[in-house]
Amino acid sequence: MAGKPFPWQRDELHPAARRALSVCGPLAFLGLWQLFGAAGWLGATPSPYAVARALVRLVTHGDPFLKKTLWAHAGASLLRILCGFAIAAAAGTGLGMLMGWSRVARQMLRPVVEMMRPIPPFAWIVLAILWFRMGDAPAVFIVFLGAFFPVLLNVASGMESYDRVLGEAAATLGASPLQVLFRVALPAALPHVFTGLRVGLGVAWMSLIAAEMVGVGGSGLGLLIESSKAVWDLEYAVAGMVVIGTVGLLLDLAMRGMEAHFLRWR
Amino acid sequence: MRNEPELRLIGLSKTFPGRKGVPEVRALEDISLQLHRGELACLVGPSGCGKTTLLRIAAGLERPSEGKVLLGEEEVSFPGGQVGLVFQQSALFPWRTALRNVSFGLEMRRGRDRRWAEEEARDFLYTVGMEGFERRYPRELSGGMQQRVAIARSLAVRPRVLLLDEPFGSLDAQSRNSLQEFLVELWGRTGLTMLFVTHNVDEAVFLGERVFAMTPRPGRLHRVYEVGLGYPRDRTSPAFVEIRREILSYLSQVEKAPGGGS
Ligand SMILES: Nc1ncnc2c1ncn2[C@@H]1O[C@H](COP(=O)(O)OP(=O)(O)OP(=O)(O)O)[C@@H](O)[C@H]1O
Ligand SMILES: [Mg+2]
Repeated sequence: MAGKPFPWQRDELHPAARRALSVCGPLAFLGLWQLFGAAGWLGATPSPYAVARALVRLVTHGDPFLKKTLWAHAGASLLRILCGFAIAAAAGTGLGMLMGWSRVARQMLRPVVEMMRPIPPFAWIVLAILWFRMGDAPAVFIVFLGAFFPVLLNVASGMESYDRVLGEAAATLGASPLQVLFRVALPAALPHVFTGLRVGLGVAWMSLIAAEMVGVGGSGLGLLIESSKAVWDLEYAVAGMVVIGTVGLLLDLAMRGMEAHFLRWR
Repeated sequence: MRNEPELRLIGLSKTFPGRKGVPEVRALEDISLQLHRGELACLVGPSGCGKTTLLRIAAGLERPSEGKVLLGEEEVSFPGGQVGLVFQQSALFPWRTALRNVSFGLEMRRGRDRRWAEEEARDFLYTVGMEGFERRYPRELSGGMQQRVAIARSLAVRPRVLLLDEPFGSLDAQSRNSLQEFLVELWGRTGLTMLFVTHNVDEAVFLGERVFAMTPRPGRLHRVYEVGLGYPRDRTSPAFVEIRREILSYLSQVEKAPGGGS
């Protein structure tokens, strides 16, 4: 660090060191967990080893209550998040563009949106079941609600704050107002769009798990946790949490990958 | 041919409405001027006299309060591909590469595909001396390169008139001079009708066949100077120095008396 007194001036860590460190952290965490468990400080909390064993059994034999495999549960959750998120992304972007573009639409929609936004998606569960009854539909609806508002509001603010000179430049090059909207304002607002998509995906994932825990859909990672509790198999519950965290992480990584690709001009 | 008017500004006035606590602004007052086909003219005036407003009206981006803009015989009231405008800060699309910035206007045309537009755009990028930079994003280009790309982007849609709003204003003296030479050379090659706004008198005399001088707010047309020197011009020649001195002394006179008309 010689000659570079401030943290923000220091060189990046060596890639190998970076990789080693990001493996060491989780390993240390697992080690402490196992150690504290063995010392009896964690009560009935299952040990990492027991959780790993439960994970393997989930794959080979399914969960102890419904006898559905991990793949079935994870697949159900993934299908719901992908469908609900796709609908929310399309609808949120479309309506957000309208709100950002038209003052009339903005004035009319803003109060409704601002009022509905603070309602947690999970609070819609009763209506969701009433409207969509059984199966995947109510869960997809909850996912939609979780993702829709962050996408909508970020797209709208992106459309309001983009540099108008770019639209004027496009107009002098012969672009029509619609072309300015889709070929200039939308790409210019893309950083905001991605912020909305990432936040929305996170909220949607958490909301989905909560909905599944009360039995919506009759399967999924949320139900896996809940049903394990019912038969008091705690290692299955923790195994379910580990999977939820991992899938959530992978979803976010996929989103970041897309963001890095589409915003490579920044 | 050459003396046919291409762009005519007729009796243009512009008042920006005020709002609570902000008085209205009379930016332009009865401005009439003509650009001949194939002419390179410059417009100088003190800061805030309405040069940008004038160009925006001529490009159809702003409506005049009075008067009209004629391109040939047609009135200009909307922006389109006919009157090009190069902005002071290049206003390139940051998400598009240099090549795709230039192809933008061509892609916007009905029934034209991207491949055709890019092939066409490549020629214009070469015209401004930017071969090898096709795939760079604007943030990867220097200020001078960005302005070259912005000029190519405007040229690509083949406008009848090109308006330039202090395009080299934020560049260092070195790149400024080389871009001025480039512009003269480009004009010689294309014969495009151009109106170049600047508040740098040296630049105006170096470039313009005629130089329009404006008064401070509200902007009126003060005088038209016929430069009458051949190209390329020598900044140290007595004739150049003389006409430059004449315009400068006018401008420093009006800068000292703010608010005074002609
Ligand atoms: N949209 C607007 N609303 C209100 N007033 C405006 C607007 N645009 C310009 N003005 C005013 O009109 C006058 C002329 O502005 P303009 O930008 O045309 O000047 P300019 O000659 O280009 O100045 P500079 O050399 O500094 O670029 C200024 O007083 C400015 O405050
Ligand atoms: Mg200006």
